[in-house]
Amino acid sequence: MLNFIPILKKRKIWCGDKMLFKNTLRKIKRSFGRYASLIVIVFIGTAIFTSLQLCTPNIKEVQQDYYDDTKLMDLKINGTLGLTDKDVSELKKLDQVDRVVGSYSKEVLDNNHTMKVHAIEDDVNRFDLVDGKMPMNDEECLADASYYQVGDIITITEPNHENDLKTHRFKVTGTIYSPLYTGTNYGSSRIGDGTLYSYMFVLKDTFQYDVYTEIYVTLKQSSDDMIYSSNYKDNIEQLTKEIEKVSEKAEKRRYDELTEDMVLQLEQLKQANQMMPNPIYQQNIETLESAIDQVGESKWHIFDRYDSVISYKILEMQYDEVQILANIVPFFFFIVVLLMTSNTMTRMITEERSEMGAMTSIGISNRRIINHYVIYILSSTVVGTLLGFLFGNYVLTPLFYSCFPVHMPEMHSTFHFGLFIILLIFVQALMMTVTIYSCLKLFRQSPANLLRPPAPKSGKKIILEKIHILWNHLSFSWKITIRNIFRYKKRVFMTLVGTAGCTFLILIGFGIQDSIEGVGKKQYTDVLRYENMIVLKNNISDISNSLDAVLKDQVKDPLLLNQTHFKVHTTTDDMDAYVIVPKEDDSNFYKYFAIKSNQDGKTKKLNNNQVYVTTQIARRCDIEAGDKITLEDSDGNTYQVVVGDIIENYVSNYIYMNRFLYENTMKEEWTGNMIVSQNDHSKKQIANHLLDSGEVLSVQFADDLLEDVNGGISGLENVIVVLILIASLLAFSVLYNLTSINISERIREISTLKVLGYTDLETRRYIYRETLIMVVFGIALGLFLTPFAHHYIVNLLQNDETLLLEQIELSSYIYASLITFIFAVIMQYVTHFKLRKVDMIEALKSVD
Amino acid sequence: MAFIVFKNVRKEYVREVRVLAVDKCSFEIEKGELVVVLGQSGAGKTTILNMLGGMDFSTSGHIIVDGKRIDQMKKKELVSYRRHDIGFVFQFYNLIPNLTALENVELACELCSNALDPKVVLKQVGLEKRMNNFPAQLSGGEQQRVAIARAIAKNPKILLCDEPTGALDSKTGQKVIELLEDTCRNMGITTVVITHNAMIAEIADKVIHIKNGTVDHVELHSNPKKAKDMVW
Repeated sequence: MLNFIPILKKRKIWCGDKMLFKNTLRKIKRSFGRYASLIVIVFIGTAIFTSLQLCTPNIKEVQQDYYDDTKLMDLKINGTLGLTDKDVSELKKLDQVDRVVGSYSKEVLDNNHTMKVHAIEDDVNRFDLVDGKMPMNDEECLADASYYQVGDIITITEPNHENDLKTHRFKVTGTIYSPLYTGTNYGSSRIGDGTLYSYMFVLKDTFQYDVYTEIYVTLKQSSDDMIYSSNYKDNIEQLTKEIEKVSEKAEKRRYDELTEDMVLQLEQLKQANQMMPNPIYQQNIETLESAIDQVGESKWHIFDRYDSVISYKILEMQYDEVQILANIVPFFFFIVVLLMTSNTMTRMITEERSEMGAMTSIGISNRRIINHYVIYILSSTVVGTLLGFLFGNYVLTPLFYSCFPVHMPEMHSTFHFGLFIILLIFVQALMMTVTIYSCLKLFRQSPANLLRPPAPKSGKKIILEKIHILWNHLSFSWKITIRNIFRYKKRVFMTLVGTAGCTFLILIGFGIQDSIEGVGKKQYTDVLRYENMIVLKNNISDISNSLDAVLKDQVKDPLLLNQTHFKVHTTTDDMDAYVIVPKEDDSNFYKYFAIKSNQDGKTKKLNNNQVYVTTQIARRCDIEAGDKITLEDSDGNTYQVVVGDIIENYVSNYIYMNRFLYENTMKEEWTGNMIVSQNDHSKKQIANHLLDSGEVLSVQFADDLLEDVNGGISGLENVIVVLILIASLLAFSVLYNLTSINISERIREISTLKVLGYTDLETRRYIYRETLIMVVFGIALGLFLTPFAHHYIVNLLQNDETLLLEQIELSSYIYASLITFIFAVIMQYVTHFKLRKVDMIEALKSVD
Repeated sequence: MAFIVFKNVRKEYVREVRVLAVDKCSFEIEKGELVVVLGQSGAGKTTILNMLGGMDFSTSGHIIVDGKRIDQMKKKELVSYRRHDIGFVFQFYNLIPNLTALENVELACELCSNALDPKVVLKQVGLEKRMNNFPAQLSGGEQQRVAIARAIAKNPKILLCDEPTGALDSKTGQKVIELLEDTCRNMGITTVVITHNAMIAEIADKVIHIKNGTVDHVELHSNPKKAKDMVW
């Protein structure tokens, strides 16, 4: 009869593959939890890797596009005697230049703040119109969208009653963000209190200069000239040299142009005087000579983006910071991903050893069997990698971007296909290696051996048991727990890594928040203890009766001081600092300024020989007490002073000295330009009253300043949310994976306990106790390791202007531990249902 | 009333299809008896044992042990019943691999207040020299002795053994049966052994023959054979 059964002829190559494929699909369906956890693990790893890797390039791309779109200048030229159309046409002759635009700008005062007025240009330094429309006449302007709204009126005054602008009252017709000012810090100014607060753009005709104040130059672009690239830097350097060549002639031309008539006249007068000496001639000669002298030196200054676009340099620093993170964190995650997936696959393959034995025994080749596991893992990794890449690129990276304190257009992430393919190949290769390795390990045994249950792993005495005093005092269940911990080393290690990583990420998040948020409070309550800061219109040597009358009933205990902006020469470049000199260093001064030594926290008294500098200055200059530092004023004069001590300070940089030392060093008489005091009225009332008096330029309140400091870091909360999100995903996937492997691996053990009469609670305790102990150890490890990384990150994050606190608050330690522990408990709760469902009869009936 | 009473017990499994595992099953066992439940594979022996041991619920009928209705107990009560009244011995020993022989017994002893001294029990099963060995270091017969010691040490009312010699060679199997016989006779523990090996049935006071999920007939031995006299 058998002869009649037709023989199915199949191509040999397909033999068994269809069934194996079906088997794989069933496996995915049946153990979907495991399959999903593989996807999640790969997803997290890829998302974090992608977002950190792409963060810098993506933001750089935004910046590059923004600069291209707005035609941001590459170089700016200032001339001490102004710049002419002839200069522009000479520069246009240079090969590498694309555009040369002569333009105007001027620093003016808007009531109490210094702002810069620029001319609107079409060919260079364009801007994004946020709201409103372009100005049509001399009385309209575009203003900084961070501070102004359409319809606002800006009234400005020019310093020294100059009249370089046609009008001084502008209506804001539109608000803008200019690429010249992308950060929150606009840099320093030469007038007012030394800080530039905002900017506005007016029509070119509004300026009444007869020469240009600056010339903007843009470089001929090639695609290799990405910002910050060495190519770009080289080109800029070359162009600067070319311009310097032009400048020599141009400087002389401008000088001659200004002095030509006078020199001619002078020569004529001198001739006349020689022929017929006359005291009137003589007097005219002297007047002319001094007039020629007054024209001064003709000199060009060339600035690149580092000098004239404030955030250009800051952003480069921040890119470096992110890059450092990008190099460390993904490495850690890849280790976790590798450990987890290898653990899962090894476990799965071990669990199915009899199935593999059956397959080999019916003659399916090892390669095919391996293939069918490879399909299982690769399908999950492809999904995980793709989702992770998309999430990292389109969600996490823009989120990081939103934390950058810059005003640039929104990010439109592009799909970096190359990186994705590389990542995919890398992850796949990794997973395949893991799977094939696990399979081959099993195939080393004969099929017959595979069909038998694995020889049980022998129990082992642990070292601790040799310490009889300790071991004998442990209760029975503790002995078991401890021995189990030593038995499942790999799993214990991963629990440690997972929970330590989770705690670490959360604590780093909170820690960075602590470091930054504490700064404002420390600075404006501990270090600077005045409640308001009044900038005076004119420098005075004493509080006059009329000013006293203005201050009376508004503020208490006024202290007159001089605050001037200086540059400090550091080991590498210059940094900004304020020199503060009180009229008298009496108790009132120490009430408002805490001059506390960094070393012993003791208050230092100002003296006639030494200055006190704040921490950041000391760090950047690499100096100690007793060393000298060099200060440079806005006219370029330098002064050397001896540092008495380094003092505590967090925001901005200050140098304190007394009046005697100031007058001795600067060789000029001390005058005050600022008053600090305590409020004696409502803030609004004080501000109105003082500003109305006409003697006061601006009033600032300490609590507003504190809010400014804190406001600048609001983006930080996103970072913390991201970190906690990543941490929780990590904790969940690691703990879920480990606990379920733990249960499936020890199902017979659990069933035996149940049969013996263990209650659910007792079974849970037996299984979970070791996990929870390791979670606790993991948390402790995380808490222990975080401060080191935190120290490192904080050092990266702080800049010239702010010093961050290095301390992590106790509450953050508690939160990080609690959150991690809660994650662990939630995971136990989820797997607890699995544990309850364990069917003791099924598990004990047969061998695996 | 007898110590153990099964009256019209029925067990249905409803999964994809309804399977009637045990039906109209009635028998009685006296205190201290050595009983063998004999039947072919799939006859329903294990199901009966599981219901008796409080590991599975019956669908209907009465199961009474020492005057208590096991069939009406809730899950929690069953845990306590298993804990205090039942000792289990399995075909595949099911020792905890990470515990020594002694610790495996101690694990069970921790559960009951009137447990026996683990060391004494291990000595009784002839393992005083292997007490500190881990299961992997013991032979099959020795492992099964540890399992029996673990079951006895709880000082249970009933000892339930599911194919205790199933994975052992005949000689080792005989030793294990001897041990069970001793336990029953000397300690007075009611012992129920499930097997498909008719040879073992000869040592029982009572043999319950199971066929197609129900009691076929009950055979009484007024003078059972001694285990050591068995010929395999």
